[in-house]
Amino acid sequence: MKRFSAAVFCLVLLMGGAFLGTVGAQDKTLTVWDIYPAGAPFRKVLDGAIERFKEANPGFAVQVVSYGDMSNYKTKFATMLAAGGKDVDVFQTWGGGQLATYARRGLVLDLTPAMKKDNWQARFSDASLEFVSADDKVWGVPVELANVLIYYNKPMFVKYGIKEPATFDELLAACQTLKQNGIIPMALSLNKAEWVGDLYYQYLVTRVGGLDPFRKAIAREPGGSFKDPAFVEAARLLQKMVDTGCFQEGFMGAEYASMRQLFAQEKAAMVLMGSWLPGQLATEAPNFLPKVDYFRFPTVSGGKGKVTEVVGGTNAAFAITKACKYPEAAQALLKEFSSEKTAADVLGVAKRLPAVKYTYNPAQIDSLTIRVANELNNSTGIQLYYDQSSTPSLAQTHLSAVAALYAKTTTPEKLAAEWEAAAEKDLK
Amino acid sequence: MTMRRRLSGDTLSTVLLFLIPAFALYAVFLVVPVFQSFRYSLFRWDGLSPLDRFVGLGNYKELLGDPVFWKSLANNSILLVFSLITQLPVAILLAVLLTDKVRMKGLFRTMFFAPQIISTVAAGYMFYYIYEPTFGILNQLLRALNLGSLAKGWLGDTNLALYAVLFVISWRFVGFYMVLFMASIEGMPVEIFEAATMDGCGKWMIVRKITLPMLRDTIKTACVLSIVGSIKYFDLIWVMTQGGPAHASELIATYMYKKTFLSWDVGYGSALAFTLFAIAFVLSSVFMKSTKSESGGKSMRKGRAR
Repeated sequence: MKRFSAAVFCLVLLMGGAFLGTVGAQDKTLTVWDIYPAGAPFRKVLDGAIERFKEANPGFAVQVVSYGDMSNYKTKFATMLAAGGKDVDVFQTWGGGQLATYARRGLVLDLTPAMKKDNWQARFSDASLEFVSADDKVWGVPVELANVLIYYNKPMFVKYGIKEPATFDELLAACQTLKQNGIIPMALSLNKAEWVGDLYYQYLVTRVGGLDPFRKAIAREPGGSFKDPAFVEAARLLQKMVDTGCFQEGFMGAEYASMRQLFAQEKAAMVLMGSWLPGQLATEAPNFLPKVDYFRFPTVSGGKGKVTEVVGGTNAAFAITKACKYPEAAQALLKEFSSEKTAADVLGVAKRLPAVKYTYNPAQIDSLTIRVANELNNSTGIQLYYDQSSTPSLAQTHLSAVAALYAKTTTPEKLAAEWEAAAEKDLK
Repeated sequence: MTMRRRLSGDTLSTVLLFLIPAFALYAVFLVVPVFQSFRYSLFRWDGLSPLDRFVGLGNYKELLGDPVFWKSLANNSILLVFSLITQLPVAILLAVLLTDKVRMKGLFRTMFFAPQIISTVAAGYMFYYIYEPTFGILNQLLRALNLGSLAKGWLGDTNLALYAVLFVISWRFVGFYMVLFMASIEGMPVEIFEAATMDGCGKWMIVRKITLPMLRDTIKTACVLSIVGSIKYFDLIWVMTQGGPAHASELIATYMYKKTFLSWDVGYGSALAFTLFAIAFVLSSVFMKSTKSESGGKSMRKGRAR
């Protein structure tokens, strides 16, 4: 008898784990998944919005699960979705191809009716809703937008008599001057951060060929191809930057954090980065931040792109799973995420750019944030990050091809040909 | 045989009962998934949509024409050979030295075993800050010694990245094998060593003629662990380079992870996973077979005959 009960005990122990998970979640709880760890400025912004939601909707609790890191989050999230998506109600997304993929599999709640009701959609700029739309439907609510700019160390530019470069050739000349003075012209990181290197490539393509080549190629429109000369020429210009010595020695081995360190410790003069950078520097190097200014990515001679076309996208958007038990409440939460008050916090607390229309008190917001925000508002076109606009598989192929371009283990022509071949296979 | 005869029906059922939990775990988390991933590998599948695009062995065919797969396989082979020829000899040497009469034995043992205790991620980041191209310790040291031309972007250099990580892997695992060998050496009967010393054997002779032959089985175990470990290796590569730059340090396991969880080619990822399993299975069984023929007990008998 003893033996029998021991065996039963073992089996119960073994199975216990499987049952525990099902009793944990309480009724009327919304579970939110995002990437902002405790202490991050954006965490404060979202927590504030969640508090306001709870006040307006008594009886609802909100449980936040934050992962702190985008790639970690994306993996966990997709695995959870594949398992049915029952553990999460509201989730962070970057819009584009990935959100569209989930939407087409019927895993995401269609927000189009809610957007039309009470004219919720009027809160957003057209571009920001475009990032979270697919098949003429809206699937997400953008909270933050970002544009990519070249941030630079202003006193350093003054010291070496460098003006903000307006053309690609001027940029190369500025790099040479800085290099001769023992300064790293531009800090870059490619180790585990291929997307940082891709920002240069995306801008070069946009400056050489405008927004059309990528839009046509990714939509598989007639005449659209990744073999378009713009993609080849941009790759050539990128390798020219490497040859000119625009980046620090061994940049291929540097991680994202090192890149910010080089810039903040004034070892490097410039860095190409999204508008979230000043917010990061505000916590990492507050004394350095006042020295930072920006300029727009320069134009390329003979290029079709305008200087007012920016690379960017939604940095924080939120969507609701189809499996969510309280879609009404979840939508109310997302409405709070896009409220006037939240937008003011996005700008004021997190120093980031709200995706909704907003008013601000100039006395409370620093001028750099405001000028960067205006840059985005006055842009004549936005190139959504390539990795966000592509399917996950095509994005991976592209990112490692761009890394190979920097490492010179591939050629511009080969990059374009392989990209096109992958697109033909993937986007059928 | 003798075991089975001794077991009465009652004890046999006890044994079986106690085996059930372990076997159930083994079946659920190992046996079933192997077959499941083989099944997935016959489909083109993104993990989300229904499993309906059967492609037969299409994924395996694609695998054979995939240069990144061959690059990963080559990198795994380099890792395997590198591990066998660096980790094991160094570990044996340390084990022999540290089981002898050495001063501050405990300190040295702790020192060499410490890397094994540090978490993989922490070790990876520690070495990242050694290898960091601009302010990393290694490059700063080289520049201070006027060897600035040797300073490299270690983890970002397509020719060096793999070896930069291999060094850290060996640094971590030497301690593990050292403990394995030390335990085995300390379990050896002292009389043999005493007798050998009385017969006038030098230290080197004792190591060569007694310690090493008696370590034979442990070395075999260490080899199998090292071979299987190298084939399915993932951790430090993922922490330090994620297989980059441009697949230069890619291993089959990291490529499998990327294909499955980043590209969402779950079918292709499963084909990689199953291939990985097959390679590990075949290599370790071949190794076990080939060393079994000279029966494990032989060296022991020889030892006793003396």
